Amino acid sequence: MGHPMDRRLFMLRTARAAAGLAVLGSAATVLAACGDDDEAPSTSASGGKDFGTLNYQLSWIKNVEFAGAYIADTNGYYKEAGFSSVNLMAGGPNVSQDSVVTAGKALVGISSPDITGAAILKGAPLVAIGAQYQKNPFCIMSLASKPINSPQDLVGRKIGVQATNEPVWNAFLKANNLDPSKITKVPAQFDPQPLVAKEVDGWFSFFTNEPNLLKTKGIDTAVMLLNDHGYPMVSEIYVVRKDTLVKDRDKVKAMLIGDIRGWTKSIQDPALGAKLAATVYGKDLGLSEAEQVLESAAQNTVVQTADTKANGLFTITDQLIEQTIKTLALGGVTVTKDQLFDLSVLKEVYQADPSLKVTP
Amino acid sequence: MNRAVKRVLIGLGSAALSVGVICAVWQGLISGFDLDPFLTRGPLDVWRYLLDPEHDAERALLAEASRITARDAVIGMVAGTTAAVAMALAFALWRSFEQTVMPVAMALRAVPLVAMTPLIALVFGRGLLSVTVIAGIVTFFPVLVNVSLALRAVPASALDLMHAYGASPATTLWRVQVPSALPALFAAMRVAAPLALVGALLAEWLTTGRGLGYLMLQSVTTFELDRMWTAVTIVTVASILLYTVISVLEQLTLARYAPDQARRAL
Repeated sequence: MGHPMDRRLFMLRTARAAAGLAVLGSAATVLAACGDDDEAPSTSASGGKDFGTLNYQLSWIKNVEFAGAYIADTNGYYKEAGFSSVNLMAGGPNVSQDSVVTAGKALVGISSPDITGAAILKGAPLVAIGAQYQKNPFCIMSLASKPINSPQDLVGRKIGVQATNEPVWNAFLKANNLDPSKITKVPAQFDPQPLVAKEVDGWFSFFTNEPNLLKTKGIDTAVMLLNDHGYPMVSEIYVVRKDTLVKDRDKVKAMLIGDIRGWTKSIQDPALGAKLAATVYGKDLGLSEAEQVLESAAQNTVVQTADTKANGLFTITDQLIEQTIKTLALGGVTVTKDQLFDLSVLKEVYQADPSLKVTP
Repeated sequence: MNRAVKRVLIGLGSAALSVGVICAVWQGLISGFDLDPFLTRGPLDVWRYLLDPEHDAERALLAEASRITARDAVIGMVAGTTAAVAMALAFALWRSFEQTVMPVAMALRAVPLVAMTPLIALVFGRGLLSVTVIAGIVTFFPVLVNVSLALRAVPASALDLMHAYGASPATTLWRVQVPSALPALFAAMRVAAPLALVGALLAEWLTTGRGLGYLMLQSVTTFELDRMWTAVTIVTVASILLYTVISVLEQLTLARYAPDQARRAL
């Protein structure tokens, strides 16, 4: 497509993300994440709480996917909750958010139950404390002219999958009894250009994100939601280290309060987060604000449901937890409910201040 | 031939020493920085993991990935070196060709390969061809620069002699310039070999999704950390081995073509 600007930005981003990752690529990721914990909570002279810097690991590049956090940061909700500053750390196709949280480099990370579940089964001391998305946003995007409408359609095709989503991909195939050797998987970055260039037949995406991106560029896509094909679960979960819930429970609560207020605003006005993503937080990504508004509105449909209206944002009903655990088991991630979820912090937050629950 | 055997032994000895030093520094860093044991593994952990009798499937996986990466790196290096030598020879025969092409080649070199990789994948696909191109490009430049400089740095007296005997430029190239450029070729290949490996890993990581390059990344995201550290170890050892093999070949060749240069240490 004739968008030289996007291509150039993509290459710059790729270069930046890749710098230094040549031989010891993965080792560098882990080692960088293993440095000492530089959060230094200092006692505030103002007499209020001072939790220091909030290190917050996002699960993707800084697009509108994290609207609530941008609004909370911009409107000072994190500051009001007690943080002196916020460090929103971009994720991406080659960043393992769960490793960063495990290493203590971030207080909280945004992840997916299948990724965190796989980490927990391998011994990672992690736990999920809430979910932004009540529905699985992952999908396989394909061109409308050559659509992939069912998991069976994947056989014999070439699909672009981001390294960070490997656990999701593996579990999805397993849940659908598909043989991975019959599908060609190629490493994908965040720009779906290879699909447009017909280099691949399918692209692992969020239904909110890439399909809207291509739509605004005039390209029709077909979208197969994982949620509709044997793979329903919550997503965009908050992940923390287990010991954080003991040591820094108040910090976690403060973060959640900031996020609840930010996301409440984002639901009221999808354009707000879109503007912040396009003009401030993801400024160098070349995002289109109009496209980000579409994406923001689409994601609000999975953030706000009848359940979260009644119980508060990020809460997960017992029924949805059961379903998530059942789906994970189908995908070979045999984690238990108690291993993966601890919603007690979120409950305490809403008990302490029921007014947070009031959504428009 | 005794001297050759001695040189091979010295080569292997210094490779073993390199491995020892790397392991010591590695273990030291892990112990010294008090890193999270869930994420880090020491040399001994890797060793135990590799030898665990229950890890047949893991060993097969790593062996297959290593085989692919070795193939990618070797093909890339052979292609890059061949192309570079051919171009250096053309430069030596036609100076105007060099003046036209060399600046373009150097400008291309300034573009980071990581930035070019998505384009290369678009043009050459996501198979062996694009891997060869990427691993070839990293090998190409050091060899081209070193060899074309060496082809020109032949003593004037030797060229005068060939000229006086009425030798054609091609004969002069073949009889005088090429043999005297051999040391430079090997020096360049010693630098280029580990680079070819890096190029192969990069191509696997960004385009093909096969081999050690992608396996390392995939192992982190799926929390197979033993596998990741083992893969990193394999790459490191392979890089040292590759360097050693070329050094030994270099010494053997120099002993024949440039005895005065062969005496320096490996």
